[in-house]
Amino acid sequence: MWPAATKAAGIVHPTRSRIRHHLAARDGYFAMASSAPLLRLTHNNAVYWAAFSADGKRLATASLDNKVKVWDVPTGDHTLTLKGHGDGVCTVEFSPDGKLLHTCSLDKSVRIWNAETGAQISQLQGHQNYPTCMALSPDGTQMASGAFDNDARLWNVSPAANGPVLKGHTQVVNSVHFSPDGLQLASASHDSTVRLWSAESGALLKTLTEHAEPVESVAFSPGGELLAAGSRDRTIRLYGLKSEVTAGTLEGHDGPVRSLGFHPVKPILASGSQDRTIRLWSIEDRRQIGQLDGHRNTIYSVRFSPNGKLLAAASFDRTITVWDAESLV
Amino acid sequence: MLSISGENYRLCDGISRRSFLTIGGLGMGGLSLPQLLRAEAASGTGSSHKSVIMVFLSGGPPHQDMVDLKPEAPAEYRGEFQPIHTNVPGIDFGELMPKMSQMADRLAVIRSLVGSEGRHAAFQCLTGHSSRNQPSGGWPAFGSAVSRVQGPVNRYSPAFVSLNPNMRGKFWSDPGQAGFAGLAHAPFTPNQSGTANLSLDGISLDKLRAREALINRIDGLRDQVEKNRVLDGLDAYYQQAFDILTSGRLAEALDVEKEDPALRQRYGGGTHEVAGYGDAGDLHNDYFLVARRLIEAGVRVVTMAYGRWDWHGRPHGTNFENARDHIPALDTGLTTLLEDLRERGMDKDVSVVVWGEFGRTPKINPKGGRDHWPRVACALLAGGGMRTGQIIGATNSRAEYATERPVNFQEVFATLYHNLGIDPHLATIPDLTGRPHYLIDHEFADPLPELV
Repeated sequence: MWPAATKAAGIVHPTRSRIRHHLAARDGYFAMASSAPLLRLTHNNAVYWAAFSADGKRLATASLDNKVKVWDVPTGDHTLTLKGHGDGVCTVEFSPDGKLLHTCSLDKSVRIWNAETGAQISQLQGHQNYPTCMALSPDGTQMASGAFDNDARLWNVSPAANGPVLKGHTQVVNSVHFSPDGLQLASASHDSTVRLWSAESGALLKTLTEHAEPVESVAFSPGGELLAAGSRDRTIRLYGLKSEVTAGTLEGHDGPVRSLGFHPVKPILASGSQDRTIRLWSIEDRRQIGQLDGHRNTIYSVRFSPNGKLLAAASFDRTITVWDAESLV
Repeated sequence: MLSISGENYRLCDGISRRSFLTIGGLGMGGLSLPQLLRAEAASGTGSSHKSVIMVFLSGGPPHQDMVDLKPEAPAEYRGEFQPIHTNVPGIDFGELMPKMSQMADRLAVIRSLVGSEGRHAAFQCLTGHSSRNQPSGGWPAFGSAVSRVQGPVNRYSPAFVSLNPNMRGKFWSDPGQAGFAGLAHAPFTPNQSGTANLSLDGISLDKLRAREALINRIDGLRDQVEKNRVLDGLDAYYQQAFDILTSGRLAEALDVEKEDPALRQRYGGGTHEVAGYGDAGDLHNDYFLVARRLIEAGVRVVTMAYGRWDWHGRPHGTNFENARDHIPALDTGLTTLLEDLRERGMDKDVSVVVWGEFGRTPKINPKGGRDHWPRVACALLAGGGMRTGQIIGATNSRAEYATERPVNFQEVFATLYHNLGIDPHLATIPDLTGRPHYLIDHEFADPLPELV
């Protein structure tokens, strides 16, 4: 059932949470003393996404309850709700200056909101079927989305306008992510491929076909030297984008890998899975260094805060957990 | 929760349907003197009357992920969940039902429910009948038929209450229609629009106790409703409506805040947020508790729609993600209800049935969902003096169709009528042309012999 101590603000006292984590040890990883998230926040339906503001003081969360909530960090106070989407919201992102919120919804719209007042500023449509994912370029000038119509799309933020349609995938696009320099977009699809596109022209640059099963999630490393892709085959593949970086595979999840997030500074990758765990991986050693249990359903989103001190996870179990990342990695 | 005036929705005979139904939902119309006398006699009998709580899993629950797992089936059929042993040797449930698994001795599971007409609607689970070729006036909901045949238990509670909230999917929010049983036997629907509090168009209960205001209101309504011959016996109905409103017993039953907080916690809480796509009901376990309180207050039939079980897959969550969301909540709510009924000595009198309009496709679709599967479904039954701790029927190796003891929806209703003391072979209600109709088709009118 739902967390027993759910309050109006959606916070559950950490001490009531049965969450433990594992910390890295020289000879592998092992269970440490029971720990708890700093915050457990709630929506009234599945939570699909969590994103920090650039200053790390706010967290925006998107839910199947059609709403986006904004929370103060670290108090967990609920400060704002975005209402207007007609179906679940799959993704939300803050603009780099924190003044805007960008959302993408199963109602087939992409919207831009005032992050202070919650007023909607603009709305765009184009996908012919349910969108599944959205990303914002590092400079905040472009959005990208993927959908059940097998397309990825680029959108201009200001003025709000439809951009190129990226055609090529043969099945649903599950995840999109911009490269750190904003020049490329990666898309992961149920067709088992990852594709790299020019974020300017929308031209297909490269197709990665090493996965044998659907690819659920994709993320560039902060330096752009690696591309990580999580798959239904329960693995995470690391693609080296620069000649000196070798590829690799991270194995350990017991279910499809639904979400990925790189640490902004350290060579650490977080992953969330249908197996209900969050796992932490050393990129240098290509091995798992930690695991966070406690969610009761698929982890749809994992994201480190911009300063790397916090880790947020959004789950289909209607909750978002925020963790002290410094104690974990 | 009772509103006399409300928004007008005029029928072709000029009667405001909503206004009438709200009053008619008190279930007191058309009572014969003997029925009233019986009601009077029964007044104060508390929870000892026979009753039914029906939990409608809107959208169709996945039988193969709950009570009919097929661990030997290919991966694309068997799904993500493992079977767990129950406290009855030889019976396994799905892993998301740990509490029910330890209460399997108090449950009867039908694995071979057949005859679904295959459309999204509460109708078949509310009436037992197909929506096609209905008699004049339409088949009454089970609770309306019971109300018509047995009348109220006491003067202070309607015979039939539906806890269904309003939903965007009207086919699921249907609380049950009175059909040819007569509008006076329509359910009282406290969770639907216009019934948010026990007030009469702004007149508080306290003021209502000065009965003049109510009488004035009712007199105004009388001028309208007496135009319709269906509305016989309204004097008794008015009196009953008045008694219900002024006694406060129904209001108290609906007020879950009056319940022991610890017990309410055991039921599991929940949310009023609509589940899934936003077109169905909520996953609110207080409904289980309110159902028990209503039975205690004298209601004969309580129905409730619970959650959204139509799990076609992404992007609204896979069948298995939604199962992890819904089934544990049902597990908690239902088992607590059964425990609560037993602790109060009500379990032999209260029959509980849990089901949906159909099963779900054995093969998992590419979006991780299971689609509609009318060929076979499941039902859970408990209480009411039924023989529990057993499985009825079986399906093939992929849960595609019944291989043993197919059970029709109507047979379940025949069992419920039997538990209430109504013989489906004898009880009839005339339709609007005056033609009498048995409540159950003759071929299905025997209660399930495995259960009674």
